[in-house]
Amino acid sequence: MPDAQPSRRAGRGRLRPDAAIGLAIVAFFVLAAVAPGVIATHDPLVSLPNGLTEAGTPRPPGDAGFLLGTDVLGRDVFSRVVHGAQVAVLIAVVPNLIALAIATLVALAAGYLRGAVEVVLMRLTEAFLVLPLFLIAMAVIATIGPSTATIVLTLAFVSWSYPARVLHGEVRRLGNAPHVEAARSLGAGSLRITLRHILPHLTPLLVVYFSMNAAYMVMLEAGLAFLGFGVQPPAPSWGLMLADARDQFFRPWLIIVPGLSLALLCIGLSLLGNLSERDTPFNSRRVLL
Amino acid sequence: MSLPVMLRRLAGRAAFILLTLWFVVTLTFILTFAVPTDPARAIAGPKATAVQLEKARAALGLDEPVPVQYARYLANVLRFDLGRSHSQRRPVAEIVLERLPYTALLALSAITVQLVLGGVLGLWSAVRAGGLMDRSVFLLSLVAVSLPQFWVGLLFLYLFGFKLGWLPLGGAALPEGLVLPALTLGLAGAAWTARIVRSTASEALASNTVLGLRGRGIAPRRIVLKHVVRLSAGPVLSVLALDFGLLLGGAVLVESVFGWPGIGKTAYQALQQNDVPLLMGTVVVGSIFVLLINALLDVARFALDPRIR
Repeated sequence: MPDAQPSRRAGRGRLRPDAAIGLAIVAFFVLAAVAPGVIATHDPLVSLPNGLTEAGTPRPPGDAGFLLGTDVLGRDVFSRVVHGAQVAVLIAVVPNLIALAIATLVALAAGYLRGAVEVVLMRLTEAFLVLPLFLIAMAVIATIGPSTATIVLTLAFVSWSYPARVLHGEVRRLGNAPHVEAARSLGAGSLRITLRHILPHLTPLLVVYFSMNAAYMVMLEAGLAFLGFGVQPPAPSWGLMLADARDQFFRPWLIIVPGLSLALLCIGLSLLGNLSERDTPFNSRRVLL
Repeated sequence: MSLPVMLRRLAGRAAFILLTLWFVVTLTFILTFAVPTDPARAIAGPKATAVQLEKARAALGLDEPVPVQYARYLANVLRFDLGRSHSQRRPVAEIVLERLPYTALLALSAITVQLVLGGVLGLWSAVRAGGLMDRSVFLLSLVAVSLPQFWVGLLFLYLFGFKLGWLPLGGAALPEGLVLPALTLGLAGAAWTARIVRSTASEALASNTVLGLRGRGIAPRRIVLKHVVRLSAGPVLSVLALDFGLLLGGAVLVESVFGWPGIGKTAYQALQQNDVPLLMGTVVVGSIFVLLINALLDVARFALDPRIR
């Protein structure tokens, strides 16, 4: 049967253009994170001998071979931004995976155990949806101390609730799906149904939320770093670079370059998240901060 | 809806708010008292003698068992006693209540920007679906939701404050000091609102309700401005309620970028001065604020859209 479902085949074979752009952007940053030395032109951490002008001020973009200029300590901004991708990619992946694992666990536990447990878990999820989580994240990191581990765990702590709610809806929906009823009528127990017939079907949603939540993670970390709570120096992180540059209005490139990297990565991740938007109802959450 | 059902709904809502607050207060208690940093040391200062430290500890009740401390903490919060700020040497509740109106004003202005800008662009896109405007709004909204707000704030400050000199570089001057923070905070929300309005308004335009109205010869402009707007309001309000906590999080950053003296900037200052009681006070009051606004928006949605009753 050569052309049984032409429209579907056409939709599968080609990557949508917006998703392709997103993929290209994200791939570039992943490359920068994995092998920064290939792209960067200088050491990101040292003050370079010709990094400042005779007057001792930072060099503007293009001056003396510095593509994006230098900062107040005479370090190459381009190389720092490239190396900054490491922190961004780490933050986009690790807390994100933890958050999605918590979300999946909560959704499956609520769907499997039902009753009072489901009510409590979903009320807790709702509470985490409405609370001012950025303030709470600040308070947690301020009291426990801003180590990379604390930041990763805090980011996971404040971002599991939205995917949990969406996944819970999906678990409820799948509970009435024909293949689950078939399995049930063949005598499969609830645990087996949850793990074998529901969990695998959550994968498409998990992929979408991984991508969207990644942008949220990156922006949250940048926001915390801007307040002085990011991954600690000397590791160059974009949020920290912006914090250092907040009053550098005479050297606008110090403000523009790290922010643009942040924005570009987040745009790439959002485009990638749109990949299967058609398959999911309109329920994506806005990413703020 | 009958009265008992309405009362049950309200009671459920109130119970949810109280339980959520209890959760937040307990979290702040754990963070304040159960972590390695010594609150007595923070008050007495780094050069305090052992005797002074002991005195500070007794004054805070730290020499008592944890459950007793917890019970007193809860009782204090119930009386709205949130402790003393050691950087400002004043009650925390007093400071936070002084700053809350600024945050409320900023949030209100941002929401106005969000609803007006997002609503107009979204409706326009829906009415002229597939046109140039529709496509540019879609693209712009995608970009706008992906920009870090504090960075947008810095760019606005650079452009309108520093380069053009149109607006102040920060501070609480009214009304000119409010323009840039409100725009910054409202922009991402506007993009988001435009998307939601675009999708709900398109749905409404294709509905039988609108077909019926057109059949009765009512002018298209009137249909859009009266009926389609009303049909789109519900989803916008429910997202607004859900995202108010996010808005407040954004306000923390935007306030510290612009030096706007709300509770976000207070939290940032508390952070820098290691003033744990003040920081926790902003968390508690911020949470109360968000929960109340949420309940209020829930009621508004209820009143606007008879279908959900």
